[in-house]
Amino acid sequence: MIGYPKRMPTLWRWDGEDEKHITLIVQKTMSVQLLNPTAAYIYYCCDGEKTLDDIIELFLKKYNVEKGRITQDVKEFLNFLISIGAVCYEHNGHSVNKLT
Amino acid sequence: MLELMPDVFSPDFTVYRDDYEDFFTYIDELNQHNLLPKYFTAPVFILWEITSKCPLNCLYCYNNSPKKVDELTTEQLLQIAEEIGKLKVFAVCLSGGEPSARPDFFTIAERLLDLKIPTSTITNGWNIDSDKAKNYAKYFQSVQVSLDGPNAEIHDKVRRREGSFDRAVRAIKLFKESGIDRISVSFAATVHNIDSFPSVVELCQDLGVSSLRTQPLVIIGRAGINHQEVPTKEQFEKLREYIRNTKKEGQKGCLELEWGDPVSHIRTGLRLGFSLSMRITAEGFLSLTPYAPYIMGHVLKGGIQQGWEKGLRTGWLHPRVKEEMSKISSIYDIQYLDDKALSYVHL
Repeated sequence: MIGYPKRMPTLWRWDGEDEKHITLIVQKTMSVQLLNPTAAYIYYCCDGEKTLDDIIELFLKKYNVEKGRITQDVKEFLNFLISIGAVCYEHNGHSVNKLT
Repeated sequence: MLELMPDVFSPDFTVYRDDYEDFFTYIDELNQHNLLPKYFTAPVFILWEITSKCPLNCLYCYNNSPKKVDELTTEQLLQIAEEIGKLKVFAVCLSGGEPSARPDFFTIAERLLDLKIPTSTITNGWNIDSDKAKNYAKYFQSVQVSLDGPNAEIHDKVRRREGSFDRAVRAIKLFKESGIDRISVSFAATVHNIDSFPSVVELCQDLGVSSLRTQPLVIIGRAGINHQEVPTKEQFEKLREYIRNTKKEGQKGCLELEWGDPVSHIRTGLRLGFSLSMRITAEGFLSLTPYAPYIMGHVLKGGIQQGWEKGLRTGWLHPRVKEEMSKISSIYDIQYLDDKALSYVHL
């Protein structure tokens, strides 16, 4: 499935001593969330221009881990971001609630 | 992913959770895997006391308002707002004194709105009329009104001004009419009003407020001077039990009851090491929290960013803060800091 995960409009910033974490407001729950560096990078990649496969490729270059594992982890976290309304995922102009 | 503040707009520093031991275990696990930062680039939340002026003179006021201090000018406050925007602070609470006692109150609020900073405020309701209520609805995501009794007899005694109950209730009604969704009420428990809490719950239900919060009174400022007004540990325990039981029975209509624990805020700070929040006083001093009387900067000397970078962001690790704050296991231990609470320690 080709789709484009995209961050929902909200206040967010790079954070932490090395600015690799991200803090953001989740509008749906009106809470502030802290993302660890890996999660932050996934969130950052959700720019509406990269596909899910693009993001997985970026992680494959970054980490020496088997593709299936990375795909599963990225999808799982994206599903979480979608469920809390931090990211939306569009496929052929339709929003998708869950990546399978 | 770590939820830093369950409620971004919590207009005080209280941590509303019953499970903070579990929370600490979780923090330790994250630390073991190096998943937490050593500090944040800027505060997540700022309690901004824009004035020490107040038309009331409450028995327990933690910063002893009203009092005369060298308050910042409008231009200086606007400069702070700009910095808050630049630093991407996630939540600001305009507090006081009574924040609306400053003529430029809405000017500051408007600037924060323009900068897209989620802002809440606290009021005693004294100054609120219909036009002002509309402005509150325009600028604030939530408003907290102080209500210290179910009737004028009790409330006015605690707040030490006749008519303050009627004005607080009127303010809540005007805020409702203006369409503010999140109106919360805070109840400061003293020996005079602690037994009337259930009646305050009923009143809040009738008024249609979203949440009613209370906590053990922090014995600093005027509550330190009037310490005979502070309820006993048993009285607070009874109040906490009432809230627990009422919550178990199910929500009171749309009203959510919240019990805060000021000591858990201190314990969380000490455990995390890094700071999430900052307090700006009416004079412009920067500190960790109203509960710890240590000044770690001034807005006119390098601004928020410098105060944060030079000390506040890891302020809980400062040797003196750590040593003194570690001794606090209940609000009654905070009392020993009373003399310091009235004359801040500059670190």
